[in-house]
Parts: sequence; C-alpha cells; structure tokens
Amino acid sequence: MTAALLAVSKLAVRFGGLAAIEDLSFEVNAGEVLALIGPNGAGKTSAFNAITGYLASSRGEIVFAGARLNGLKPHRIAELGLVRTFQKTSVFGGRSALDNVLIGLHLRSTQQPLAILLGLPSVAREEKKLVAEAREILSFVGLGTRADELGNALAYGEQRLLEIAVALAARPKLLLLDEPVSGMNAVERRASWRGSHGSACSASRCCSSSTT
Amino acid sequence: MKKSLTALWLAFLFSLPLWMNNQYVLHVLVVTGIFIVAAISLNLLLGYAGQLSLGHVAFFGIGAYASALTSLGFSVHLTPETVLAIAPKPVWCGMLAAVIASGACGWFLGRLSFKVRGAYFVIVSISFAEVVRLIALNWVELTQGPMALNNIPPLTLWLPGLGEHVFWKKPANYWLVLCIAVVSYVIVRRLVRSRAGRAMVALRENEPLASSVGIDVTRYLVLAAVVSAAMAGAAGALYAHYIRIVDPDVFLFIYTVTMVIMVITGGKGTLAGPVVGGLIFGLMPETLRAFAIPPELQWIVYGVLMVLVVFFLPRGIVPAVQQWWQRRQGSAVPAKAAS
Repeated sequence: MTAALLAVSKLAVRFGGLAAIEDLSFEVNAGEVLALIGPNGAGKTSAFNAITGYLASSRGEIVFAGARLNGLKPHRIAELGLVRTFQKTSVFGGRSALDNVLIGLHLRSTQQPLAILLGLPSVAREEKKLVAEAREILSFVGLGTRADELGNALAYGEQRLLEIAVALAARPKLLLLDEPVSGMNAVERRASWRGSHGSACSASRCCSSSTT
Repeated sequence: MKKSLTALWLAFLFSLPLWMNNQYVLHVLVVTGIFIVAAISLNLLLGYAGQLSLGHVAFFGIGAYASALTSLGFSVHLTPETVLAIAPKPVWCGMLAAVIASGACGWFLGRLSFKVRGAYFVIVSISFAEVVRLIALNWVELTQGPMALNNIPPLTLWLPGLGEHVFWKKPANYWLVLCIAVVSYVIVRRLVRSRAGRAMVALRENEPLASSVGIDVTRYLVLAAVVSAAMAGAAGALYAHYIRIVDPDVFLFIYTVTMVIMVITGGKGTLAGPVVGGLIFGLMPETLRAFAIPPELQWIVYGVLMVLVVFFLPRGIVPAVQQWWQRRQGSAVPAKAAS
C-alpha cells in the first residue's frame, strides 16, 4: 500500500481556551473522494484552514505528498498542489470571469519580472496560451458564455462555479471544497456537482465539507 | 484603429515644440510631464496593488537628491576621522543612482508593508516621507539643508553622429521627459498585462483567495513597490536636472497630494488614468492664470472641479468615458440591427 496523499494526525486548533478541533486524524488516498461532515460549529472550516495554512494548528501533524505542511504559508501549500475553496463565496469581484481564471493560472505560468519588463516575445506567447487554457476551464465548469462578465455580476450559483474554476486552474493534486453547495437550490447543486465531480475524475481528487 | 490613434497622439506630442515657440508653455508641460511620470508610478502601487502610499514624494525626493549629489559630488564625515567623498560623476550616473536609491527604499517599504496593511501602511509611508524630509533638512554636510543644492548640471547625452548634447533648452527637456513618460507607461502596461500584474490585482481584490491559488502576496507587493519607487526616483532625477536646484521642500506633503489627485481623478487602476488626470490637474492652475483669474479664485476653481469629479465620477474620468463609449456602441448596434 502506498502512503496516503494527505495524512492529518492528531490535529488540534485552539482559539485561546476554546478548542475548535480537539483531536482530528484522517487520510485521503490518491483518487479518493472524501467528505468531511458535521453540524454547524463542528470545526470543518477550521480544519480546512489549519490544513491549508490560514490558521496555525496548536498540535498535530499534516503531511501532504510526503511534505510536512505545518507552518507553511498558504501560497507554498498551494504550490505543493493542495488547493482549497472558501465557505463564503470568494471570487475576484471586480474582474471578469476570464481574468479570475487567469489569476488562478498563476502557478502554471513561468514569466519572470525581468522578461515582463523587457517585453520578451515569450511572455506574449505564454499569455495567449494562458487565455486559451482559461477559456477551456471556464467552459468545462459551464461558464463558457459568461467569460466577460464581472465576477460580482454573476449569479450566486455561477460565482460558486467560478470559484471551482479558479481553484481548478491551479491544477491541484487535491482539492479541498469548503461547503461547495451551501445556499444552492437543487438545480444549482447538480450543476456544481457536475463541475466538481467531473474534475475529481479528470484532474484531481477532491475532499469536500458539508453540514448534515 | 486604436494603434493609429496612439501613433497620431504621440506624433502630436513629439512635434509640439517644433510649431509652438512659447517657452513658458513648454516649461509648464515639462513640469507637468515630470509629475505625470510620478503619478504613473503611484498608480502601480495605489491603483493596481491597492496600497495607498501617502509618502510617495519620498521616492521622488530621494531620486532628486541622489541624482543631484552624484552629479555634484559630495564629502561627508561618517565619523570624525573617516570621510566619504564622491567626485562629481556624469549626469546619467546620477540618474542611475536615483533609480537604484529609490528602488532600494521602495524595497524596504514594501518589506515593511508585509506586516502593516491599509491604514497602517498609509501612516508608515507618511512617516517615512517626513523622516526623509527632516534628514534632508538637517544633514547639512550632505544636503546643504535649507541652503539647497544648486548649480545642478543639466543632463548631457552622447548621441551617435550628433556628438554630445547638453539639455539646456526647453524643447530638449520636453522630449526627454516625454520619452521617459512613454517608457514608464509602457513598463506599467507590460507589468499589469502579465502574470505579475494579475497577481497584484488579485492581492488588491481578495488577498486570501489570491494566496489560495499560490500567489506569493508579499513578493508581488514588494515588486510593485520597487518598480513604483524606482520610477518615481527617475521622475525626481528629471526634476533635479531640469529645475537645477533641490531643497528639502521637494519632500512636501502637497506633492504627494498632487500625485494622488492626478491618479484618483484620472481613474486609478487604469493605464490612461494618471496621464489624463495629470494633464487636467497639472495644467489647470496655469490655464486659470492665463485667464487672469485672481489666485484665490484659481484654487477655489481647482478644488470645486476636483470635488465635482470625485462626486460624479467616483471611479475616475477614464473609466467613466470608457463606460459611456461602450454604452454608446452598445446602443448603436441594436439600432442598426433594427433599421
């Protein structure tokens, strides 16, 4: 048996005297879809925050693909291939849907500041490639026709899809979806499921949390 | 269409000194141009990275002093025994020193803003500018303090075929400032239309989401601060070699305010914003003077116009015009389809 992709052992998160998470251990294997469930206030989001570096854990160990994540910054963790979405809808509201995904493609581009300032042709070539890729991702989640719409102008369900598109653009090995369908109706849920489940099968593994 | 319009606009600007002989107007345009360069640099930090630096004039002033001191030479007692002396260097060395010194200060301030954001960053940047001003005022051995550095040499440029050219005259300085302004504009344009610029905007729009997709927020904040500061430093150096006297008053808060007004009214976070805002609010005081309006009324008109712009076009002139243009185009197309 190979080692788990993500292994969380004896994780604890405390806010002063309040224990948000007492003792959490779980493993996610490659190719697996795992759901973290619990009532409101159970600490699902805190667990996600601690795993992805937004919260400091007070005890326990988090190992992802052989690397210890404790104490790493969120962007370093994303570089390792562990990408998360947020419980509250979180998009770049002032930018178009296409720009949102382009920002998500950050880790997939290689332009260096000096090359950008010199305006090397390699930068322009890569930009073209990135735009094509971003359009592909957008149509994959079903937002292909909404590419030029501002993030804020999208309907709620579409914003949640855009969130997933942004996270997918970062090419995660493991995707943590924090309540991906909260506040959605049945139709939107199905659409969102198509997006995230499709991605789980094609590109990455996902791990989602939801309230019971 | 758009390209030829840009070319036409540039040709107009470059040919201006050929058919306009009014030296005073040229002087006003040169000074305005220098401030537009500074506003373009501020726009990178304020408009794209979303950090309000109210001490931006510090970089401008540091650039002015660094360039002036390098080209004049100086000697300072570091301790009573050791003396640091620099012989006068060519002016282009001074310009380079200005860019490097300001860029280094930008790096320092950018690193600092890793810890402090928002209102705290504003306060840190104001304090930074004030401290630099006090140093310039009191370190008399280096900066001559309130006696000012004077007799700063104008820029000399060696051109192939033309030999050495000294920038004494107004038209030469006008072209120089115009070239630097175009270069600054192109640098910012390249930056914001790349991965780096997107990272800066992402940090402005939604910092947690930006770091969740792997953007090193600090790195891009520092990059924005360094490029912005270096550009402001270049503007400061231009100012020093054009006006040819630098005193601690270049660090006055009012200059920062002028730059912020140019950026905000023109439209922060747009490429053309600081240029449009800079042209309007840089040229207006002189235009009003030309109409022989009494000075107190000039500033009232200036203030009222600024309030009107901010009140009715809160996002700035350029975004408002763009929106109006798009709406016109949008309504024109269905009308055509109907007929």
